[in-house]
Amino acid sequence: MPTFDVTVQGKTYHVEIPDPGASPLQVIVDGEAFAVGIAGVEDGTRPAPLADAPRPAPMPGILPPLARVEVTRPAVPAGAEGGREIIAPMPGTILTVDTQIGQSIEAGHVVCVLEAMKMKNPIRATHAGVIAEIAVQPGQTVAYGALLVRLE
Amino acid sequence: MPTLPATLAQTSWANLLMMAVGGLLIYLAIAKEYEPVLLIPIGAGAILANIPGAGMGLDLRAIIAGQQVEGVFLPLYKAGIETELFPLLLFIGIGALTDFGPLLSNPRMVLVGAAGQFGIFLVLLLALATGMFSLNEAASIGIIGAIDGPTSIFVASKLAPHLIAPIAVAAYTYMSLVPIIQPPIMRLLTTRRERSVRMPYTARMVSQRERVLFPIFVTLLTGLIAPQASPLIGFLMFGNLMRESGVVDRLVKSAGNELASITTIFLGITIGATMVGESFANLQTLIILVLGILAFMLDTAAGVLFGKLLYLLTRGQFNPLIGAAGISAFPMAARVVNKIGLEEDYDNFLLMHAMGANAAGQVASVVAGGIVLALMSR
Repeated sequence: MPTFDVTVQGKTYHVEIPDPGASPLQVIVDGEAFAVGIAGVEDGTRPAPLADAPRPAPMPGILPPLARVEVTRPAVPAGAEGGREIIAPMPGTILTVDTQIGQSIEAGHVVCVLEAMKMKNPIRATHAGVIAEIAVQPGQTVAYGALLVRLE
Repeated sequence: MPTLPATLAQTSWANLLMMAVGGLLIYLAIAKEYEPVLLIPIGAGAILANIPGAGMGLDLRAIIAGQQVEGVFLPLYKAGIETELFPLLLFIGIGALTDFGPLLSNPRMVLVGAAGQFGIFLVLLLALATGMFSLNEAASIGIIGAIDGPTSIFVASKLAPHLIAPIAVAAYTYMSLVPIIQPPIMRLLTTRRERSVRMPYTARMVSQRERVLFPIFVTLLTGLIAPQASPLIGFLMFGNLMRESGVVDRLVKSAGNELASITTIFLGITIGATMVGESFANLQTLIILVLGILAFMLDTAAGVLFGKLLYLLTRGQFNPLIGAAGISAFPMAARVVNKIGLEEDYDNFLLMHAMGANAAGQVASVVAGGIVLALMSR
């Protein structure tokens, strides 16, 4: 299992990658698991080598990121602190976003449509609230547990 | 050149009936979008085959009896169905399109796929009990229950070639009727509480090594258990190996798109052309269609009941609806499960679990076909 000790801004993190061939990539940082989806990498194909993943560039603009990386914590408890989060129930592609920031919605309102396994799945709000943040856009690939929409 | 009244005089009620059936299949394909990819070619073939005097019909009984048969569909039949080539080519494409990831990340779904095959053997016995069919014929009819068109054709062409027409038509038509036939059985056999069981997505990562080894392992294992299924499993897994290898993208695209489409066109229209006049429109066909739908319903019921058993064994952690996905119709059955689950709870997505069971059902139905062939050839 590849392990790394990564130092970011003086703080050292212990990083383990159980299976470098997996997509989405599972990355364990100090014992906490993250699912990392790398945009542009189709399911089942080899993800871009780790070296290609964007690093915190000391001089922004000089090293353009080669791949867009989405990091998500699986199974974030919804509404744990400050507002409720609607997360992706499975990996897929966002087809449409059917809500706007500031919109007041009822429970059961379709916030977006997630296409998984060629099936359109309406993602509905489990609680009423006001849309505070929309974290996805149509065409975007999301991993399991990715934040879709945050409610106030 | 025959005059119009002479052509009309040659038209039997059976021709008209089969043309109407062809028209109905085309209607279902266009208006309801039930598997149009299959139903349009089959429907068109049925209409062409029943034009009197055109000589396009494929009368299988006459072909097998060695009588002289003509027509454009004969070379297609000889080349692709009698030799079992079309179902096998189609399986390369299906393998290239199938993602076994959901099954690999949840291997216990193999059990669900196996349970979904009970109906095959029940209907085999039922068909024998009617006294109208030989053992080989009964076995071919039972396979319809797996809703696996290529395997049905493959088994029937070996055991009961004269019945290919009704068996293939039943398997392919019922495949398109999955969203109609399955839900009532699923609702009848489960309680609201069982349908609402939440199953969070299991994020077990599947490595590329597992994905590549899976088709090779399944091919070898099937060779040991049911070597008669090796042609089907071998071609299916060959397509999947190309997909998972990650280095032959071009071949995967061709197999999944062009090869599968071309084979579907030829297979569909040739099967449609076997629905000709009196050789198809008879009581035996009707009984086969009824037994076939019964096999499908029993397979669905067996899967759901097995799901209920898992529900009990896991103390309510397993949603019994997923059992219904243990048939071959991929990915239709998994979508139906997801849909019924969402009806009860709009936040409960069973899709990935159902896909695992469905992928297992696809492999299991092929293995079941091989087991039937092995039993019958003794």
